[in-house]
Amino acid sequence: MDFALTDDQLAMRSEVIRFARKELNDDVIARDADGEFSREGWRRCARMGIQGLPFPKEYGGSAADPVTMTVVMQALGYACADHGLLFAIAAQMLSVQVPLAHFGTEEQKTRYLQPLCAGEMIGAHGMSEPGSGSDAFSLSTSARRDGERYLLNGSKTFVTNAPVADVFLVFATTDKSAGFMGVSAFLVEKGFPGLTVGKPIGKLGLRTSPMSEVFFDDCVVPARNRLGKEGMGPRIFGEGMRWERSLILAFELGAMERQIEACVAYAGERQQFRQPIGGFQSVANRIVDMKLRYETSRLLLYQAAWLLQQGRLGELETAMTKLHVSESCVQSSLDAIQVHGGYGYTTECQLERALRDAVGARLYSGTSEIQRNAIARSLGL
Amino acid sequence: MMRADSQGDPIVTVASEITQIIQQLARARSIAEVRPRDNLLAQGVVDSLAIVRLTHILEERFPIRVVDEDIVPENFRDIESLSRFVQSKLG
Repeated sequence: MDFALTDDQLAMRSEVIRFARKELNDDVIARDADGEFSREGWRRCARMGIQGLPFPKEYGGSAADPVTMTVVMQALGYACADHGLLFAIAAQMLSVQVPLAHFGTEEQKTRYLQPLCAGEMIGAHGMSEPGSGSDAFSLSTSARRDGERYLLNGSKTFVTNAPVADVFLVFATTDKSAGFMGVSAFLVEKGFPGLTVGKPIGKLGLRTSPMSEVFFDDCVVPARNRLGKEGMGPRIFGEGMRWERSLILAFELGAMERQIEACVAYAGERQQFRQPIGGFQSVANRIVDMKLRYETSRLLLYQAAWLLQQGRLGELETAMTKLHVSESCVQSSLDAIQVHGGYGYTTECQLERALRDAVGARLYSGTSEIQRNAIARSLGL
Repeated sequence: MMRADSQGDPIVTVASEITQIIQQLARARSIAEVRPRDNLLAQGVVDSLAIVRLTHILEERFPIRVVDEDIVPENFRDIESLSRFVQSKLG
């Protein structure tokens, strides 16, 4: 069993860290306070090839495997302070581009996947509704076939990227009698008649990643913009979620890595009672626990990426990864603040923002409760 | 593991086993009774959570493998269609 990264992956990690430190960290404290999305950061990432990483070269991607993608996302999380930007990019890649690459027609991939890889378009994923969240397929949004078009009616909420998106992957019920199997997926452009984007929704963390509601009022969608066949919504959604739940927390792994380094450095420098605070077991043990959480998270995450690469990633590994990494990054963010004391509580220190950014990980892409349900199911409970 | 040809008419045996499985799923969702042609999808007996459990159970009870392509309304709409689907998998 070889856990080592290849020379190419290590070189890529160094290059991404250098890029992120130089290009992505301007004014993050102020932009976080204002909830300001960085379109320039988005473009810079696209020029670096981030949005195209795992996608075929003919659509502008670099056909990187999931493990390499995880290496890059961890490096970004480690060096880029703007986790809202990273979350917005990862959400587009994993929940919009992955389904598009797997289920899209040639025309759809040329029209949407290519500009999404190039950073010329921004994509958003619309599933949650005011009345359906964890029970994802109990959708009210409907799509009625009318000749060579569909008419969509309903609304979506908590849509990451919606205020800046050019195209939405929207799930709607086409056959109510088929229950969750009557859900289909559609690629809806922001300019299609009947689509309205709501005002940005304020939130605790990831504030530089804009989010809003989206409304459909007899929204006209050409039939050629249906992704996959009618009723394929659950499979399309499931494929996106498999990737998202496994890999989206790679950037939080990078944050955990950075926090450990910061805590070790601070605990070595900060003197109290005429000795570095790292000499006190209560401080040192807290950092030890952070290290253990980081290493177990890393093992689960890279295992999930490797299984995905082998085509063997199941519900159990996906759910365990999502649950453990999300819970770990929240606890370690709290611990990092505690190690830094009063300074850790300040905005300037930037650990409080990391904590606020981390909390969302327990909610998006399936809450911790949903992941526990999935693990229990896999155990036959 | 239950085998379709282990006793009596295999078609009847599969249907009766499927009926038992579905009645168990229904009871877990506080649905008292499901008739052979009741729509399992519209009633919520089989939803996005139950389908995972149902496919596990089918694979445990019958020597079949349920793949993504099999998960379509035509195969899971009611007890009769589910029985036909399992029977077709058994060959």
